Amino acid sequence: MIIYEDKLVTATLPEKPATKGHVHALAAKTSIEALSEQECAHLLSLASFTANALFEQVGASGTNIILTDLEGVRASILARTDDDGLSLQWQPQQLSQEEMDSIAARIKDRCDYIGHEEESQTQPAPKPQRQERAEEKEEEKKPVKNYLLKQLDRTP
Amino acid sequence: MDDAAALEQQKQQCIFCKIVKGDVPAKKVYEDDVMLAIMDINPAAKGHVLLLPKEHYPILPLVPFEHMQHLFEKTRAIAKALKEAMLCQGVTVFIANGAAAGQQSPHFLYHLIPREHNDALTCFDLPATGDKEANGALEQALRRRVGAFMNAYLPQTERDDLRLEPAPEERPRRQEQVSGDQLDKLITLINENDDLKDALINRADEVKEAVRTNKKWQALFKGVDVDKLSQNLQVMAAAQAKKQDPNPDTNEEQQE
Repeated sequence: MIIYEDKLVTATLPEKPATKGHVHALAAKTSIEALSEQECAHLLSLASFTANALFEQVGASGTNIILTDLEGVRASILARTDDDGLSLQWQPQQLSQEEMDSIAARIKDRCDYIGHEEESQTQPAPKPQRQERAEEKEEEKKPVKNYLLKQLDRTP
Repeated sequence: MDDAAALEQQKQQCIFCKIVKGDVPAKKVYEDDVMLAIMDINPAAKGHVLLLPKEHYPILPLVPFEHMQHLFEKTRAIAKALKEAMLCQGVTVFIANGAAAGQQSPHFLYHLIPREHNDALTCFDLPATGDKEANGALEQALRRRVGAFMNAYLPQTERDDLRLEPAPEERPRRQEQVSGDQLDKLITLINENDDLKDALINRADEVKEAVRTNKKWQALFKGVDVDKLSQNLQVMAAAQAKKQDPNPDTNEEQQE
């Protein structure tokens, strides 16, 4: 049962819900980095709006969004109540200070590129698509124009 | 105490507001004007990062639109950085709104957790214990509400192009289905075939019947409005006749 769909994302009610108030959201991409920044925001915004709608409709006490990109980019959006029996709590890992420092340094190194090399890669979507659409529109008009012009040409 | 005063008191005691100010140490991996990414001190997996707005908002629905968009946009880049740094197969973005959902901090934040296939994070494997009918009963209301949210959202992000085309039955049928090549072929055929032209001008109903019953004709006239084509040809034929003989009445008078 599809509750929302556009060219990037689809939100459905799952066949096997975890609780009353469970929606799946899927993006038509293979991983989170295959999305542009704007597309990532689009998917997460859909999830957030859906969470708000679930909160209202179910009369929930809270909401969860769990987005994972292990098998495509898919999110579960859940309405939560105090007695729903779900537990999404993980067991914290014990890491040494050195290991924490080393991991943080590695991640920070990569994050330092954000806003530099990313810029050129993360904004590709809107303009080309708009151009394509403009071309499509022109193509749609073309037959009419051709047709009329041809009739004019043929008129002696 | 009113809500504003309670929120202010919450901010004063908020550990994450202190981290933002630099009063409490944290391992920051990313920072800009709006947000911060720090390492979680109780990680679900190695490389577990927290993303938070610098301003104190208790839950996601209270985060202003621009800040929410900024956080969500940067999520992509930070997730990519996390994958590259940890060489992991995937990431989980985990958002909790409210204590019932497992929110532990009064400062809204969310988690980016490195993932592997078959890792130990089974807490994210949701059970199929919910009531399907009760969930299904939400369909209409959710469609209406989520549709309204997204209808307002798409123009704000200038992504109206993501909307799906109207359903086939809502489409204006004919002109959209006719390609330029197809029309050219048809016009050439009509011009080369006087019988066909004559039939279209004078016996449009016969042509329509042929289009309805004959597959070849169906393919040839696919998406073409035969009545309209017939009318156009009639007008053109009349115009052509008039040009060849611009003013028959006058000619007759002159002859006389």
